[in-house]
Amino acid sequence: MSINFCASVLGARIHCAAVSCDGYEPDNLLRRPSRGFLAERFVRPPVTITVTLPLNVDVSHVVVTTTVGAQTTTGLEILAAHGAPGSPADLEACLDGGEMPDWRQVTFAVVARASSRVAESPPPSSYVFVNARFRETRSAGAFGRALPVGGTARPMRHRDPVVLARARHVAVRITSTAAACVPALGSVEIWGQPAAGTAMQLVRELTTLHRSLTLRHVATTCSPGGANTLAEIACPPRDVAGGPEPDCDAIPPDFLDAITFEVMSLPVLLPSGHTVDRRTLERHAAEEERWGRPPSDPFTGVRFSRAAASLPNTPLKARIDAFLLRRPDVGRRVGRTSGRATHHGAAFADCRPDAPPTSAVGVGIPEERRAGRKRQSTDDSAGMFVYNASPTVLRRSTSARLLQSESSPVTSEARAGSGHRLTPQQGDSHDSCVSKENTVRDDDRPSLDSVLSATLNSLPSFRLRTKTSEEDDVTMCSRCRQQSGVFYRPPCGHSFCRSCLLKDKHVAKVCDRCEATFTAKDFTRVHV
Amino acid sequence: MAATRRLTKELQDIRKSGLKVFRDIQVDETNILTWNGLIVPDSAPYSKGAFRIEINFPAEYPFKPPKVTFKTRIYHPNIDEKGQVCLPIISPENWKPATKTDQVIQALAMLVNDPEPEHPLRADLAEEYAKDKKKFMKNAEDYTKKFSEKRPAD
Repeated sequence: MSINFCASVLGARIHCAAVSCDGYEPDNLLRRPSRGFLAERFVRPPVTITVTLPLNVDVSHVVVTTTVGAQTTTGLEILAAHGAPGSPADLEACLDGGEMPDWRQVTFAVVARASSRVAESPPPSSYVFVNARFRETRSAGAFGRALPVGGTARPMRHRDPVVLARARHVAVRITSTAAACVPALGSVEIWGQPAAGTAMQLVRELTTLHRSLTLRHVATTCSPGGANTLAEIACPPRDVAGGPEPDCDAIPPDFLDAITFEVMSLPVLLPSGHTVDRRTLERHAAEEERWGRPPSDPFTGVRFSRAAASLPNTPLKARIDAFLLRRPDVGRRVGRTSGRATHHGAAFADCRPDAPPTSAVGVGIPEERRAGRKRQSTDDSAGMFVYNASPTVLRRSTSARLLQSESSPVTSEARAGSGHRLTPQQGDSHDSCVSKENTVRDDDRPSLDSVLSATLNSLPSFRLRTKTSEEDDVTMCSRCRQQSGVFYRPPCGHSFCRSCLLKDKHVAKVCDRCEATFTAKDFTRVHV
Repeated sequence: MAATRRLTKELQDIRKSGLKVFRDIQVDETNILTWNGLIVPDSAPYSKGAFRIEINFPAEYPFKPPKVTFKTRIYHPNIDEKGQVCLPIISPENWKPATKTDQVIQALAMLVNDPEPEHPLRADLAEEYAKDKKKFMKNAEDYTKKFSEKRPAD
């Protein structure tokens, strides 16, 4: 059996320039069992993770697990760089690390590539890169060579044999990931023997260490919790690939959809008090539509209305997400609700507090709302934000909007009329949110609210686009207050519709708002 | 498949609760979409026998209703010669995805115990049931004796 040199107990070091997720640092890859490495979600491939080994290693094979939970890496490259001849004198010096050669100074050579094509589904969860030139030396005969079973095998070679026979740095480069996945590595194992030319004493010490560890491993694997860190390096490769967690904590029943008994990805609270997944509801609505019926509560059959609409169950969603982070084996089965996956993203965009559950099938949406949806794609993203919002953010946006409506009653009226900005229902749901919060902390409300509104009033809101009076001027005729697609605009920026301009040629030259006078040439035609 | 998890759960619940009217539930390990079982009515004229039924769940379950057929011949105005049943709770237009299979079975057992001659599948039997109940009872009892399965011992 070779030794896995990618282990912190042997003094290996790991480095990755990319930002990693909390709890999924690259250092995880040096430990067994490995929790895995996940890059932060804005990081795009390529991501290179460099392992500096404590001594020159004759690499036998490299095992890479490409999945962490649902995150899957599809393309990999293995790079290697050889070190200078010579090695630490003994085990102490080796474990101590001492002066590690800097990986930035050396030239890496690509020794292996692996990528799964789209047709190959699912992509292999682990790769074994095998060095065909590897021969076990007599001095290291105790190590032997045992290739792991399982995993997709790929050859590992370079025209200069010394790169793999005396490797000091091994890098794994993630070149591509599955759709909507972040760069991920479940585990990395670099198996091999000390390179030729390693001090005999060190080889001997490694041999004895390996033997004792193997024995210790057998003894410690039976006792949970008594995992000796030294025992880790003697683990057989397949053992550490991360078997399924024992099903000690079952899925809490309230995380399950009341109809399909699947873990919910977008829990929605029904008027009947049950919670179902958004997809279940859409599916039910589609079935109902086949019978020509409007969407209804699947439990009571009562039609959804403004008074009885389904609401996203945000607290439950937060609990489910927290649970799924702890249990990636469950999370794999549950659809992704954030990130870039397009179809889920679309489902998410629908999940606005103001949207009745009918949005997916387009039944029962007020006519003007439906028209508004087409134009206001930015509103959808605002809706996404609201679903995600923590109470403070929610309140912030609400206060901002309330302020807005107080300060300019005319525009808010116009907005309700135009129908695609603030539907009364949306306002209602937020109001109820706020009032609930207000009852909780009634004592400090006036001061807090006034401070909050004063602060918020001075800040520009990037989160939620609210319509300003300027914007109204852009999409509305200043004279007849009617919306249209084409306007005529004098240099002052106010808009007029064609009929108003033609109605009275004399008055048309004076802007109603700013009372500036213009000639006919000054007007430009604008399409909104 | 969406149906699997729900059906596994329902089967567990039914087995745990031990329905009196529905016994000897057999489900193929490889195909959970087909259930077999014995309906054990407790009122005359069917109280002397047990009737094997098959419940077929569509792959779209629970969004589409299951289908129930009698495998044992039964003399009943609401069950035809092929074993088809007219059960309002599982008719496609009335189906609610929240309906559980045990509710369906309860409804079926109620229909067997109390025939509804107003909505018959076999008009001749419905007429006999309405006009000459005594004759119907005798015929049904004979039929039950002749064709029905043995009632499982308690």
